[in-house]
Amino acid sequence: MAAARYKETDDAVLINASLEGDSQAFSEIVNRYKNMVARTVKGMIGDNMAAEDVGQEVFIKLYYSLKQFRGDSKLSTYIHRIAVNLTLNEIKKIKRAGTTSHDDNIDSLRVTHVSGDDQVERNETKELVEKALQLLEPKYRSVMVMRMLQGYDTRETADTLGLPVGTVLSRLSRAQEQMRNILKKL
Amino acid sequence: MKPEDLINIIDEAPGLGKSPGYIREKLRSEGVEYSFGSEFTSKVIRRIYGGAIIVNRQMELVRSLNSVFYRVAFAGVAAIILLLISIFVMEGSLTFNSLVGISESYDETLIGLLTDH
Repeated sequence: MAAARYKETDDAVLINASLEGDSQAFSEIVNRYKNMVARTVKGMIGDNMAAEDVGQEVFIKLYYSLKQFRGDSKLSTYIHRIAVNLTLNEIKKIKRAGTTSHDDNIDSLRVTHVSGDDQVERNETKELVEKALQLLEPKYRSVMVMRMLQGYDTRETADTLGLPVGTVLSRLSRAQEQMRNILKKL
Repeated sequence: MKPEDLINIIDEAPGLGKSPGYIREKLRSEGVEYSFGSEFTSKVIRRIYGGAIIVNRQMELVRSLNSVFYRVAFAGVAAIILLLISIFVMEGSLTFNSLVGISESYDETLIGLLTDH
């Protein structure tokens, strides 16, 4: 959809063109960052329709807040912050809609292990990671997603989540411990 | 991958000297990758620019209504001024009587009519 002329274009140029109403420039921004957003949103709320909707909302919110983007941080960090905030809001909404106890969740999410077919095993791994992440508390889930699915270091995670580095480190350590316990039960 | 394999990967990585991308690469090679549907970008663009088109149409309507209002208002003011000038020319004044079309002499005629003269 995005014109090939924008493929190698700098983010700043794309932002200015988008602000002038060039939809192809904004398409390129979406194409450039949609997988990053997908990893965060789907990693935090699962691979479902709600995640697709949140993903769309992220870019719509980005479009309407482009004027406020001063370029102090990277565009990817800015988009990521929007993604994390909207995803956390969605998690709150899901929680309000109805919750079950932690152990009930583990029972319902228990993964069946099948070995043999490579594709089946890959799907199984994805399912396992997704379920383990979803059983983490949201504040631990976000740091774990940044580390496990985005491959961010502590500084990048801190910038994206707007947290001090020390907090990120302690959350990572807690998240690691919680995830280990969850995985032992799966 | 079994849960214990994932535990091993996690234990090896965060803050323990491995590069930050270690778990990601490991999981990617195991097929853990996320993406949105193929129509994702076009849906986003449709939602943004589709809405913008509606807003633009509303703005155009307001603008065209504004210009119609000004045209009608100017034409009305011009008509009133022309009417006042023509009344002044015909009646020689702009009194209330001349504005409503009742001249002094007409008054008497009216009284005459009412009193049967």
